[in-house]
Amino acid sequence: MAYYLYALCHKNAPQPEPSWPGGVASDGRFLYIRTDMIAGLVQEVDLSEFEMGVLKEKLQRPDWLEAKARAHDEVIKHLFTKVDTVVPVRFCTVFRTEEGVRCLLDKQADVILSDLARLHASAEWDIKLYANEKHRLKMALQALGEVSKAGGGIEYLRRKQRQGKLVNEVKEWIRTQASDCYNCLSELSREYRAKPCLACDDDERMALNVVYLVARSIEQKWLEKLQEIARRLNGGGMRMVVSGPWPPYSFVTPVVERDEPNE
Amino acid sequence: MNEVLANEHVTLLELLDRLLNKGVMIWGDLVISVAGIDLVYLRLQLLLAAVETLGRDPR
Repeated sequence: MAYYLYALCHKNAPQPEPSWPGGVASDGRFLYIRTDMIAGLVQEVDLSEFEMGVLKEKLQRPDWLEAKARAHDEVIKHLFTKVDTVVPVRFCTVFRTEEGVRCLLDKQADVILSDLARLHASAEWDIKLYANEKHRLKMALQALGEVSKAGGGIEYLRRKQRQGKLVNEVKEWIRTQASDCYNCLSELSREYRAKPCLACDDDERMALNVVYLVARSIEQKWLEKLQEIARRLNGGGMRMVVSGPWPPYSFVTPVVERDEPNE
Repeated sequence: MNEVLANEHVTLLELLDRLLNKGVMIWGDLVISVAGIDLVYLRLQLLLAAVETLGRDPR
């Protein structure tokens, strides 16, 4: 028997019910391990499935990894519907004893309580903007009536010059849209983190990749702002992809305890 | 042209990025498993590095 820790929350979290998702061990009992101020949501799991050697082997299997990752996320998301604030714990954090979890909560109470206060009633939203420069350029050329390739000599050179200028204008337009989106969403959010833009297919590139921490009390306003931006971009060679609300995975203090054998 | 992804449509990569690279990372003698997935972090980092281009700060 071992204890798989999903998330931390305030001590008054409601008891898990039978209707909860199955978690990483579908027959494992859920319980809270509580201290004076904090509760850790754990599930009883079979130690033989999560001991180091076995885990290393299972993590090489994509089907196992995906099933457990989705199960882990489902439990935290479900908890997030029951309590206003959660501090998600990293995938596959397993303790040998209840006392081990309690010891962690006691020792790191200040850090955990600080995160619970900072993340209070807030969710994470992932916003990506994709730009199709070719599509936007084609629109701009059509607007100028420059689709035809007829003509030669000086006219050809002038057209090339105008097109070169248009390409720069399109790039600048995309930068401006991404910047405007970034700024107006930043103003509504409590915190935000820019992430690297990922490579896409030939016609699109990612123009913005940001994760925002947003108070749940303004979620309606947040969604309206997203719709407003989406409408503005729609048909213009850019599109927005939104995922959320997530538990605030990206905003927790990443390390709360280290191995310090010399202490 | 714009999408709001329902949870079930969130890509596995997005999910793993959160589960493996975010969230409270707890190290210590009392934890028996989490250190064992360093290999996965490494592999995922390599995968992400392979598809990433450096993002420009939009500001």
